[in-house]
Amino acid sequence: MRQLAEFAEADKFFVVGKRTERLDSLAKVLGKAKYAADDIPENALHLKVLRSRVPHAIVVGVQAPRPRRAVKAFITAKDIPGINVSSCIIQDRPLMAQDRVRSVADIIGVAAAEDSDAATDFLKSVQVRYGRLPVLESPFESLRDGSVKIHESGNIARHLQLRKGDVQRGFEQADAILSETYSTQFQDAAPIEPEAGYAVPGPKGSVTVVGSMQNPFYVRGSVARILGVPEGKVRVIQATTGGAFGAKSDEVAMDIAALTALTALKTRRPAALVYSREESMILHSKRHPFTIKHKTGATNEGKLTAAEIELVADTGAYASNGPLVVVRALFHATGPYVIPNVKSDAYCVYTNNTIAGSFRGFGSPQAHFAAECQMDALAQKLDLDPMEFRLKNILRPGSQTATGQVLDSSVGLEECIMKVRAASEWDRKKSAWREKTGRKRRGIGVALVYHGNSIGPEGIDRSSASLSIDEKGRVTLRIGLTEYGTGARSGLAQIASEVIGVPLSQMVSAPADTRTSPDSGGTFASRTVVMGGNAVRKAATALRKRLDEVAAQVLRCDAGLIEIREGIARRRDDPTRKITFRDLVKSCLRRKVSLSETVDFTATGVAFDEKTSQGIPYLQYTFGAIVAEVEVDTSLGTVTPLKFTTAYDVGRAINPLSIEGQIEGGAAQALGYALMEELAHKGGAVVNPSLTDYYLPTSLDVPEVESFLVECPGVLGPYGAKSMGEPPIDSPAPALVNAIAHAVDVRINSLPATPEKILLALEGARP
Amino acid sequence: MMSRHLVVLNVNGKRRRLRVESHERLLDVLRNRLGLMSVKEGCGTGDCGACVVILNGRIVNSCLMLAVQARNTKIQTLEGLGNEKKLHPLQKAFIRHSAAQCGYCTPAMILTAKILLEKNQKTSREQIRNTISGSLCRCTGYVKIVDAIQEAAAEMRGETVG
Amino acid sequence: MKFDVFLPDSLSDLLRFIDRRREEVSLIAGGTDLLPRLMRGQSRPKLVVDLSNLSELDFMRKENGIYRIGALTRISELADSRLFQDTCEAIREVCQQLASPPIRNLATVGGNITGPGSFRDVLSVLICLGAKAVLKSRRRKRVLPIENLLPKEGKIGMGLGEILTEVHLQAPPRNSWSSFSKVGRRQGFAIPLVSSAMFLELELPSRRVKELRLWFNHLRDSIPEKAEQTAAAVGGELLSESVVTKASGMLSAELRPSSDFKASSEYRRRVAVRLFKDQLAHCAEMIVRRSR
Repeated sequence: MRQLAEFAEADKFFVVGKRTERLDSLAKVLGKAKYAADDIPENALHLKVLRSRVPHAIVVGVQAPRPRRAVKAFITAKDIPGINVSSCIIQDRPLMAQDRVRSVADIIGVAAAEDSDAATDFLKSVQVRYGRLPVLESPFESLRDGSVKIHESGNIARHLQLRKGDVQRGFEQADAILSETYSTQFQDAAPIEPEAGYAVPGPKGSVTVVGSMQNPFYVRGSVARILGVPEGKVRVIQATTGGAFGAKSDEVAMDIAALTALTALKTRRPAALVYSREESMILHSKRHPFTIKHKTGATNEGKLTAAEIELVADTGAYASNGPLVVVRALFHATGPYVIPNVKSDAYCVYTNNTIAGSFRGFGSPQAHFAAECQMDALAQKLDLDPMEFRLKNILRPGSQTATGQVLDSSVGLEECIMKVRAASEWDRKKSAWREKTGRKRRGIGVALVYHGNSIGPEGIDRSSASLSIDEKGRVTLRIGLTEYGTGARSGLAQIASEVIGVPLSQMVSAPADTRTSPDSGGTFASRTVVMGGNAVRKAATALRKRLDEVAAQVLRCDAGLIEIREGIARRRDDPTRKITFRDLVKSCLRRKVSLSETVDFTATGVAFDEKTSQGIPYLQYTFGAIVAEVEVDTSLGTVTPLKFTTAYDVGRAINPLSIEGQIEGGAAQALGYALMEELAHKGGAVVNPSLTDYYLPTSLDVPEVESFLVECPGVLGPYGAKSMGEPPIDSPAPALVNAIAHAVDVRINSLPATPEKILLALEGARP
Repeated sequence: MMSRHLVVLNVNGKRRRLRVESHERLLDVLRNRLGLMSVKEGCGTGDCGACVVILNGRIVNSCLMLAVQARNTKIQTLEGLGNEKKLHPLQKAFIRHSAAQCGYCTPAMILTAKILLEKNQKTSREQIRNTISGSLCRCTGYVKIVDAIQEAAAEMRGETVG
Repeated sequence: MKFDVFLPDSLSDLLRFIDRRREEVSLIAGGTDLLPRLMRGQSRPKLVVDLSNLSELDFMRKENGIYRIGALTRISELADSRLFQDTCEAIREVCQQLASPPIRNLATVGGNITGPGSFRDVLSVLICLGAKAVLKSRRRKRVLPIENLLPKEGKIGMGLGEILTEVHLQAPPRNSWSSFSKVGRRQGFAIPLVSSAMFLELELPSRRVKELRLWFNHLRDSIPEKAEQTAAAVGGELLSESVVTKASGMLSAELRPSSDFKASSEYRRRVAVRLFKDQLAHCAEMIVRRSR
């Protein structure tokens, strides 16, 4: 009922729900925002990393000349005072290789010099002797009997299973059964800013690290362990970060911080490390390639009866966030449908490729690619319209998911479908474009999405925030959650502004700094507005209560009659009785009323069975529907995307402008994933670590995007808000592939759906 | 004779005399000598366009030029456009449309649009997309960048906006 | 990666300087070739010579029925030039689509022709149009078919001390048309998977092919190749559907594309044939249209 009451008051919001400007835009359009590489101290040493030259080997020996002249240090694993580990979930990855290398991204050492040319030249003289080991290039090689073990524990980093009902019986009840295999590729996050960071040594073994990153507290913990010092000795500050998408959530940010900190402490000079694009693409974590087998059963009327799914992920040489990526993939593998009998297994497998880890979507894009292509293929087999088939099976309020979770009222999926169906003119185009004459053929395709919010089953979900008001009436937000283009931090400021009653221009968002910001957990899983927002709202509410009480004293009324809006506190019963916010603050200070508040917020209620994955993995879900329109040139196989029409159930839009930005950006990344991006590995080596032949969508590749925001407030987020960082990247890819299938009757089951794959499939040829 | 050169150039309206090393790129000199950090390096191979600056009235990739090649030229970076008190229409529009997300491609996008709008304020969305196609954005999907440029064009045409 | 740079003030200054040098000297004009190669460690010059100031090599004009294009003409200038409109359309087409807008403002014609890492699409068009290259050294001047500048075993047929100063192009005959076309992995700028340059001259009103020149690029590296047999077979024939079909078959057999991670040889082959058919139809139509 809380949701309904708030929803009814939507038009009473002054800041929340508005298309307000971001707090960081001014600095960015003036060119004043300082990214890590912009701020490197004058006398800093420049680091260069020595990577392994082979993908799998025993390191027999490392011989380096003594550093001299411009080269001040060459640091290897031997120089690590603490624990040589820089990894995410499983402690399987050293910061620097000791006796073994498992990928070409393994770091053997780092040279520090007066300039990076000198460091690069020095590395050329370092001799490494390798005892080569067999190279495993795919999970299927890794899973074969007798394959070399990449890690002591074996080549399966994690196996999960989901069991619901009885799939055997479910398939018996089906009139049609479809088995297909889908596969996806390594996708590179490719933020336009490559990773960078620097460290400055302090007194008594302390160090300050500044860098391009998502999680300053994880970085601090990692650096402290590597240095063998208490966390209090390490201060980590996030610089303005030029895009992240997950890559800067994982090892690279921790590595750069640790390598520069080690160097700074050893040489007593600041030390900086800036990755080139090539280094960035080799070293940072990528999206996991998945091979997904679907076997789905449905009745002739179009009711799904059973699904058997196997997901195999290539996590590369080290697990990184792979063990959690497969969790999310497993939980979303069916797509947003009611299926009474489900049997799925997910495997996270080691290979000697470079690492796969966090990347926006986190297993969900892969799962949805397979699920949504499968739904379309099954619709075709049953001779049903893809939208109609989906409508017969979608999750609705009160539905039970594949994990047996009964959903509450906050399921806006059907409304999303209706919106895009109408706005895209689905029915008309579906039949009109069927005419299929001419060289260029148009197609329209749909895909749905559901995305469990925040970390759900991945750990304890806790967030902290701190608000403090100064004597000028400025409200400073301190929080460990970071901004890197999402606009989420500005969203938090909007919430505080709304609750306290100050204009947004009075809000200050302090840099994420482990010394002054409360630890709010990681900035991933699209949890900033949902979890951080709750903490901010709680802190703001506590402050507001105290402000109201003082205002009531000053204006001589009941605290319940106080309204604060746009920086003025008034009596509701007599608005002429008022006091400016600044004066109110002065009154508070005189009365020694605290104008600072730090709170925690913990999400509770996640619980599920380890063996069957039945239970409640996520407290709320974002839903969405995407329609893609394309034109395919049947002569060349090239695809021109024409338009995306999208609708998402966002719970409550804190800032529609920001949400649109996420929808449009997510659609572009998904388009790249669908049609052109592929980080190729061969023999463990990265073939195209360069933007010359790793194709990101340009402004000529991405079409216009129409977005509808549906609001079905959820139980978890502030004002019912739902996550919108990741969901927008989950399903535009299958929508495109389904549109291509509609255009030219060709189903591409492996990404990217390149012109070549399309042309050769059209012409029935083998490459 | 040849490892260092004295280069005279005009940057953001100021005449500068710099001693540059032969191998330094224009990008390096703008950032490290002149402190113009708005000029970004994203790839070093001309593929991302984050390093774009205006040189003699045209956009160029500053990572593809040696600093000495910029002698006697007129260069503009984002630092030379507008200020907090008086923003250029493009800067205002980028703020209003939240067209700067992570902000890393923003300097290149604004400078590129500036040249376009100086020549043609009646530009279509397609023309805008063509013009900015040499700079990559990974955050926005380009939609709000195009929206912002169209709005700035309207303002420069004398239409009221906002 | 440190090196010295020499800044000649004039062409004669440049020629005198490189004449003295027996070792290879790296040239830089637009920088769009050399700088990425430096970045990737593919080039380690000791000395670089900057041509960008030689304004005497930056020109485009038509004199006595001959187009003269200076080697330092920027690709964007060539793209915007009215000089080639309706006569050498392939030049405008290749230049308008080359790389990206800021790269076009830097890249030069000379760089596209002689740069070691060049992708050579402009060269491909110029060869197809029968252009000639003017090479100058301190002591002499040579004029040769621009085809002779194609790399052979990694080397271009220019002597030490020689510079490409300009390109000459005869104004094409009346009933002719040229075209450039390419296919990439995305709509935005990319090294093409295949590109095709065509020159067609027809006899009217018969539509008999007087001459067909056909050059493909990126089939194997970025070294343009002539589809000699196909062009010869079509020469003298009446442009009919059956002739086009037969030519397509010949072309498919004649081409020897390679496979890489970007595209297979089969895809390149099929696309090359499609481009050929499209361009042939297009050029023929433009010739007929203009004759009216």
